[in-house]
Amino acid sequence: MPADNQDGAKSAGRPPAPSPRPRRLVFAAYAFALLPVLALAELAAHAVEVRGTVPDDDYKAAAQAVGKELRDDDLVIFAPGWSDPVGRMHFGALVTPERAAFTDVSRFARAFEVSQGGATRPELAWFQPVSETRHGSLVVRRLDNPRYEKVIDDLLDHVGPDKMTVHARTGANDAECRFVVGGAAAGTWGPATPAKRFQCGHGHVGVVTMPDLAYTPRRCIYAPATDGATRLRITFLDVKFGAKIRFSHGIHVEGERAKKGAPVEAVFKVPVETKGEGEHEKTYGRAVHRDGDGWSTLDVDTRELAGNTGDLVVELHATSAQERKYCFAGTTR
Amino acid sequence: MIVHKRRLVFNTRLGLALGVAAYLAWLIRSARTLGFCRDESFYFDAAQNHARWIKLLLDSPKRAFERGAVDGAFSYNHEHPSFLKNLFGVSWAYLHEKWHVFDDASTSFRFPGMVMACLAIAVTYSMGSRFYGRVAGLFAAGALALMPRVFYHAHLACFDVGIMAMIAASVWAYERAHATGKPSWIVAFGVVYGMTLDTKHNAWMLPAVFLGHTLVVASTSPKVDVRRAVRLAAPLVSMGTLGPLVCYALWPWLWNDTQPRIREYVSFHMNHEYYNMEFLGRNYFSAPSPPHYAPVMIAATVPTITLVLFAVGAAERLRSFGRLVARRLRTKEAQPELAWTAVQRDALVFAAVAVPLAVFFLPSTPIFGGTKHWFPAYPFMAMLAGRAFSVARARLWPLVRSRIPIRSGMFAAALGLVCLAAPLAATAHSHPFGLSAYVPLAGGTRGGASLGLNRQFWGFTTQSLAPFLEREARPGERIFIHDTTWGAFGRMQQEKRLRSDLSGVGAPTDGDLAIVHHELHMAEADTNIQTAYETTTPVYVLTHDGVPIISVYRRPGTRR
Repeated sequence: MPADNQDGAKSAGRPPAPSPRPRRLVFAAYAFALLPVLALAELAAHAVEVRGTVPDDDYKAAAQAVGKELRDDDLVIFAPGWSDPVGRMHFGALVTPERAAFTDVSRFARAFEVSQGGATRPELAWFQPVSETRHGSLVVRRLDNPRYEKVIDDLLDHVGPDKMTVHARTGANDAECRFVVGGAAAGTWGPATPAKRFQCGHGHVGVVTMPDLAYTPRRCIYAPATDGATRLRITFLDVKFGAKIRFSHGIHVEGERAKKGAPVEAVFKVPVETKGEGEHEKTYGRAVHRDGDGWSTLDVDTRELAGNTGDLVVELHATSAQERKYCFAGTTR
Repeated sequence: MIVHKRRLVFNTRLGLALGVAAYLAWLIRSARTLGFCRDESFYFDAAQNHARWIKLLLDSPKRAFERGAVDGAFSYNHEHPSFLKNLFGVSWAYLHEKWHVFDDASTSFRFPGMVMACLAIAVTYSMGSRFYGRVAGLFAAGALALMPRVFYHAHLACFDVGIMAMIAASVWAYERAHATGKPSWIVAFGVVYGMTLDTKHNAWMLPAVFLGHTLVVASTSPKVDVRRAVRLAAPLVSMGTLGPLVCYALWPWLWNDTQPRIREYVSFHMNHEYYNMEFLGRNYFSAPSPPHYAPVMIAATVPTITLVLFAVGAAERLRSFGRLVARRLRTKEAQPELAWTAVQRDALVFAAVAVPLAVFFLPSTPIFGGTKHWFPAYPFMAMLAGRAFSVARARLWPLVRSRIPIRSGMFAAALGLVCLAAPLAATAHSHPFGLSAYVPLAGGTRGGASLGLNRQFWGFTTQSLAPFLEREARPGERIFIHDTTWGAFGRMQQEKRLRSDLSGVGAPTDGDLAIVHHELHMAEADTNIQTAYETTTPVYVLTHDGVPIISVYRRPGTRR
C-alpha cells in the first residue's frame, strides 16, 4: 500500500503541536458509519416500494364509483400515464376509444382522474379539483374543466357511407373512394386498417387509434395524403355548425419522427350559394402540419355558419405522399 | 502466524468458491422462469451449427476444414464472433444431448454464460483482493453479483456478461503479465485477449486500457532502462500478435475470404443501426444520443450503496495519489517504488472503468442495448466499491470494538451483509423482469416507469403469461406474439414453458389473442390492436410491481 496512511511529516525543530488527527479520525469513522445507514435505508426503501402495488379490488371499487357519476362528456384518465393499460382493463367500457385516445381535452366538461401515489396528469393542468374519494390505494379526483366547450357535432361520427364521401381529385378527374366493411388489418408497425373505411387507390380513410409524434394515442380520421398532383377531398354531410371548428391533426409517429416529409395542408370549405358567385365552395380556413409539430390544434372560425347545417369539405394536399400518414379530428362548437 | 494466514486465505477462497457455486446454482434454478429473448433465439440456432461442426471436426477433421463445411456452420449470425457460441454449442451437445445434465436444451445453451458470470465474479475477487485486500475483494465480488441487470443478463446465452468476464480476465492476465514479467503470463495474456476479441467487439477498446496503463507505468517508474522497457512492452506485443491470431484460429468464419470478412465485421459494428430506446420519456432512435444516458441509467440500475461505495473508493484512491504527488513535490525525493506500484494498479482499475464507459458519452454511439454494453466497467467499479468497504470496515472497527464484544471477522461479515442486503433484495425481486426493475433511488419499477425509462426489450417476458394462457386460452387458439421471435416462442413451447397447442401469428388480426410488450415505441402495436379489435379493454395485463409489462387483448367474437 502507498504511504497514504501517513498524514505528513512533522517539521523538525519545532515543538509538536497537539495533533488534530484523533478527532479527525473519529469524525471520519462516524462519517463511514453513514454507509451502513445508507445501505439499510436503501433496503427499507426497496421494501416500501415493492409493497405499493394497487390491488384489483381498489380498481373495481374506483370503477364502480366513477361509473355511477359518469356523463357522456366526461373524461376518465389514469395517473401516472403508465397505469393506463391496467386502468382500461378494470374500467372496461367506461373508457371509450374517445376517452382512451382523446384528441383535445376541451371537449370534456369534467375529468375523473384515477390516481395512485399522488400522481397527476399534465393534460389536466388547468382543470379545477372538485372532489376526491379514496378507494384503497387509489384516489379518484373529480375535476371541472373551466375551458369546456360543448361539442355540437363530431366529424368522427360522420365516417360511414351515409354521412361522408371521399374523393381523390386530380385536375378534373374525380375518383370516388368506395366504403367497405370488413377485413380489418393491423401489424406491429404503421397504422392499422379499420374494418369500416373508404377504400381509395392510395390507401384507406377511416377512424383509427394511432400514436402521434410523442407516442400518445389519438383517435382520429386516418387520411394519408396522396401524391402531389392529387387532392383528397373528404366531404362531411349535414354537419351541424357552431361558432368554430376545433380541428386537431398529426402524422403517425413513423411518418413524422424522421422529419423528412412534406407539409400536409388541410383546407376547410363549405359549399355556399351567393348571388354574385352562385354555387361555390367558400374557404373558411386552412391548417398546415409540418413535421415536428406533433399533434396540434387550431380553431376555424365559422361564426357565420353557426346554427346551420351543411356540408363541410376538408381538402388535403401534400407535395409528396412519402410517409404522409396523416390523421385528423374535428368537432364543431 | 504464517499457518494462520494460509488458513485465512484458504478459508476466504473456500468462502468465495461456495458463494460462486451458490450464485451459479441460483442462476440455473431461476433460468426456467425466464423466457427467451430475441437474440438468444438466434444464438441457440448458431450454437447448434457450431456444435455440429465441432462434432465433424472430431469425427472427420479433413472434411471439417473444407470451405463448405466451415461456411455452412459459421455463416449464420456471423456478425458476432464465435467463441461463446462455440461454448453454447458444446454445452448443448454434451450437457443436454449426450449426458442429460440439463433437461432443458436452453439451460445447456445458457450454462456457459452463467459460468462466465462466475468467472467475472472470481476475477473481481482475485484482482480486488490483490490490489485492495481480501475484504475488498470479497465485497467487490458480492457487489458485482448483486447488480440486478448483471443478474438478468447472466442467465442468457448472449454475449454481454461473457464479454464482461473476458475483459475482466484480460485485464487480470495483463496485470499478471505486467507484474511478474513471466513469459508464461505474457503468452497467457495474448491468448486471453484473443479469446476476448472472439467474444464481442467491445474488446476493440481494451488496447486503450493497456496502452494507457503502460504509459502510466513508464512515467511513474524511477528508471526505465532497456530491460525494463522490453518487459513493459512484452504484454502489448503479445496482445498485438497472439490476440488476433487466437481470434482468427477460434473463429472459422474468418478462415475464408479473411480480409473482406474482417472488413464486413468491423463495418457492421461501426455502422450499427439505431434501435428504439426510451429515456426520460423520450424515444431515441437516431443520433445524437444524450450524453447523460449512461450516468443516469447507471444510477437507476446499480444499487445505490454499491455506487456510493464506488465513489468513496475512487475518491480515496485519488486522494491517496494526490498525497503521494504532493509529498513528492514537497520532499523533492523519490517516493518508494511500492507507493508508485499502488498508483499504477489504481491507474489500471480507473482505465478499465473509464474506457468501456467513455464510448457511451459520444453522441454518435447508438443507445440500443440499455446498460449491458458498459458491463465491462462494472467489475472494476465493484473493486473500488470493495476498497471503500474495506476502508469503512477499518475505520468503524475501533468504534465498534470498544462497544460490542465482537471478533473482527464477524464484524466484517456483518457489515458486508448490511451493505449487500439491499442489492440482494433488489436483485432477487427483479427476476424475471430484470429489464423492468430499477433500484430504490429511481423509485423501483414504478419509479422507473414514471421517469420514462425503458420498460423492457427483446420480448422475453411472454413466458410470464403462461399462467394466464393456461387459464384463459382455448385449445388451439392463435396468438399474436409481438416482439417475441418465432424461435423464442417455439422453444418456449418445446420446453413446455408455454402451451404447445397455441399457434403464434405475426399480425393481431390473424390472432384470437394479441399481446403488446410495453415499451414506448411499441405503442403502435397497442393502438393498432385497439383499432383492429375495436376495443380499448385488455383482458389481462401482466405487471411487475403494478407496472404494465404486457397487455393481452382478445379479438371480439372469440370469447372463451
